Order: sequence, then structure tokens, then C-alpha cells
Amino acid sequence: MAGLIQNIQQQQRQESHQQVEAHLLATQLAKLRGLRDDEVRLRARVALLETQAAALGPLQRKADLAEALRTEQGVLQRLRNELEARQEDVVATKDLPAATRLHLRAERLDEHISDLKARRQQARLHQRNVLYLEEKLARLGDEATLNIVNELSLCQDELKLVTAQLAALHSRLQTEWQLSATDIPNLEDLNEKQIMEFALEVVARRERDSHAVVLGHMSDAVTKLDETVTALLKELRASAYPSGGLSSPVAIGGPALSLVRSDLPPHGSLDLFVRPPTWESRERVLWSVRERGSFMGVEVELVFDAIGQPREFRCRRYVSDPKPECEISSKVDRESLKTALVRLHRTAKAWWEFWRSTPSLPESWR
Amino acid sequence: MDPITLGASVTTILLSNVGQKLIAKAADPEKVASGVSWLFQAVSHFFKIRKKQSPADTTLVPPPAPTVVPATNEAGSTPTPSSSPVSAGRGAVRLKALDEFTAEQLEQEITSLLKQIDTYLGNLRFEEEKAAFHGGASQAPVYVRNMIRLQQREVGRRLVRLNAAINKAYGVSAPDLDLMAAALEE
Repeated sequence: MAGLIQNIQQQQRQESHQQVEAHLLATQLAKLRGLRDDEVRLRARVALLETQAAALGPLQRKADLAEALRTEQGVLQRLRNELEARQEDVVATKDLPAATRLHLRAERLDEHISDLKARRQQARLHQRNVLYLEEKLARLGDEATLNIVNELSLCQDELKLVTAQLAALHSRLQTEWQLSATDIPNLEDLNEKQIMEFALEVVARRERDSHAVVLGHMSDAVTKLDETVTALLKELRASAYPSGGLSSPVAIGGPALSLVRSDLPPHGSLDLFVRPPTWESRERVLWSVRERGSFMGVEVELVFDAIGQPREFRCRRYVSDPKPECEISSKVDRESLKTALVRLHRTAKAWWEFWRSTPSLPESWR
Repeated sequence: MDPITLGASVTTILLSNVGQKLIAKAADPEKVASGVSWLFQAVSHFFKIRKKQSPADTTLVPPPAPTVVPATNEAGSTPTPSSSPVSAGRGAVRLKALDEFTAEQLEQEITSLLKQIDTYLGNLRFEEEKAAFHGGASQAPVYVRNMIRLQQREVGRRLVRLNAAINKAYGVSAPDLDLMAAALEE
């Protein structure tokens, strides 16, 4: 009874904790939304100032415009740094809904693509300035004044700078998003909303591709390890639960098959089932031996890393205690798994007998 | 402005003045001339595709093979130009798949470079006419000779830039133009 109360209290504490976390996440997201709106507004203003500055050229540009541009660029950079840091924090949150995570990532890409559009606009203007002055210089010949020569030199420097920024942006888009310039059709004709839609599409496609690759790795690993794990679990079941009441052998199938046999007696049977790898449970795949309708059983969990490669086995034995005993094998091979399972189940038979002979536990717990 | 006609003017006006310098740099003037001619053909090809007068997959003849520079012999004598190509049997050339922005930038740069080359060639003709009044470039005052050299140098620089722009668009460029530009810088 005390255990049951303790369990309910723990469940309440968990629920309360989850509510607090959800509230925190909502606050963080609201703050992010505000920062993002500021960033979009400021980005548009900076782009406008940059275009004005480029259009005027270095000699006609007034000091106050240059100063305003520098200030706004500084503010925008700081805002972006803050936004990026907060986004990273939120994206790392485990309970973040997938759609929100996708949207946040798309916002990062949208920022890069919008920058690319703005830089291209500037590059056009700077190139036009340079070419115009070069043509003028050619026509003037020895009549050319120092003024034009200097302006040309300044314009060339600005063009070089913008070209380098463009190259850096292209390189970033390629490295982070596998996007080349030819993958963004008619960028100049896209408005803010269309750029965001494009970014969302790219991020969603990338996630899908990445999921498919990771799931492929996981499936390969599960297929490879399935036979070993099921064989070991069968051995364990045979030795640890000799009085399991199994009248017929339990069918064991591939990793994508849940094996709960309906022809087995409802109580006292031990079913082996495997939870198939899905993207939602991408970090683990379970092989379980459970007594139907009770907590009694053992699980082997194969844990994967971020790219879908097997990282470790975690073996758990469930008894009446809600916190299971756990053995972790950081080597993913037969011998290490067997050692972990044997260690875990040294007293399994005793537990089994204790569980079966305890009449005080409510039926729902069994 | 027709690029092919401009290319012919460049070959006629410029290369007649730098033939000896090119030979001194172990470059074959004939090959340089055919390189210049190919460059303007490529420009014309590029414009036709940009103006949709030709389909984007229209091929262009490959540029001539570059001159092989023989190693200087031990006596240190002047190397002679060789006509043997570095590679033979290269296939036709096609315009690279460029994004619209890059293609537009290249088009503007090439257009402007053609204008500049035309202007500098006009200036060069004007200065050469001035020199002719003095009985030729060798008899002309230093100022006129310097102006001639200046215009030639500017044309040479623009040819190199034009070649770089074509390289961006096609992935190949005319050979030996840097040798010509170096000869014009002297």
C-alpha cells in the first residue's frame, strides 16, 4: 500500500514538473517570437540602408547614412546572436513539438536566404558602380581626375567585400543546408513570405531525408542484432522462468513485428515482442519479454546515437518496484549482452517466485 | 557591338604590336591570336544563349591548346615557341548551369568589358594616328608613346578579365592570354 501511495505521489510530482516545463517552454517560445519579429524588421531596415549606401557610392554617401548603417548592423548582429542562442536552447528541449522545431530551423534558413537576397542586390549595385566608373575612366583617358580614380578604387573595394560576403553565404548555405545557388530559383522575385515557405520546404525535406538515412541505419542494426537478442532472451526465459506456464512456444519474428500471441493463456504466459524502430522512438528499439498483464519481464533496449549507429544495450528487469534494475553494456555484441543479462537475472527466479506467491498486491498491478 | 568584329580588331591592332614580345616569352603569336579569336566567339555564344537566340545546350568549339613552354636550355638561350598542343581531342564546350544571378552578373561584366575594350582600342587608334604624324611610334614624343603603351596595357588587362569571366561561364578559357597581358605590361 505504501508503495502504491509512493507511486501516486511520484506520478503527481512528475505531472507538476511537466506543467512547469510546458509553461517555461511557452514563455521561451513567446520571447523568441518577439525577438524574431524584431530581427525581421531590423533586417529589412538594414537592407534598405545598405541598398541606399551602395546606390550612392562611396563619395556621395553622407556620413550620417554610413553611421546609421554601422549602428543598425551592430544592433542586428547582437540581436541575431541572442536569437541564435535562444533558438539553440529551445531546439534542444526534448518536449518541443516537431513542427515548432522545424519552424525554428526554417527561420534560421530564412535568415540566410534573406541575407543572400540583400547581398545580391548590393553586389548588383556595386558592380554597376564599378563598371560605370571603369567605362568613364576609359572614355576620359588622360583627362581622368583623381576623384574618379579614387572613387573607382573605393567601389572596387566595396564590390570585393560584398562578393566575399556572398561567397561566405553560399558556402554556409552549402555546408549547413546543402543548398547551392541554383537550388533557389528566382530569389529576386520572392517576397518575405515566399522565402519563409521555401525555407520550410527545404528544412522539411532535409529532415525527411535525414530521418530516412538514420532509420535505415537503425533497421540495418536491428536486423543484424535481432537474432542474437531474441536467442539470448529465449535462453533467459527458459532458465529464469521455468514455471512460466508456457504450453506452446512463443513465435518470434522480425524486428518490425509485435508478437503477442492470442492463442496463449492470458495469465502466466510470457510474450516476446519487439517494438519496431520508428522516427519517434529513434533513440531506441526494444525487445521485451513480459508476462502479459503484469510488470514482470525483461527488456533489452538498443540505444542509438544521433546518426542511427548502435551505441549500447540497456537491459532492464521489471518487478514490482517501479524503478527497474538496469544493466548497461556499452559494447554492442553478443558476449557483452549475455554478460549483462546474466548479471541482471541472477536472482530472477527468486523474484519470480516471490511475485507469484504475493497475494496482497492488487490485480491491476499484476 | 558585335563581339566577333571587336575580337578581329583586337587581333589586328594589338597583336601586330606585341608579336616580338610574345616570341620572347616563348608564346606563339598565332596561337595567342586564335585564343583571342576563340574568346570573342565564346562571348558571342554566351550572348546568344542569354538573349535566347540559341538553346542553352548549344555547343561551342573548344579553345585552342595552350603553347608548351620548353625548359630553358643550359646555355640560357631564348626558348623558341612550340606548336605542339598539351592535350588533343578535347570535346565541344557547353555553358555551365549557372544560377540567374551569376549569369546576370557575368553578362553585365562582359558587356561592360567589351565597351571598355572598344573605348581603349579607339583611344589606341587615336594615339597611333598622332604618332603617325611624327613618322611612327618610334619617332613620336615620349608622351604619345606612353599613351599608346597605356591603352595597350588596359586592353590587355580587360582581355584577361574577359577570359576569366568566360572561364566562370564555360569552365574553360583561352590559353596564353596572360602571356600577352604580361607582354603588354612591359
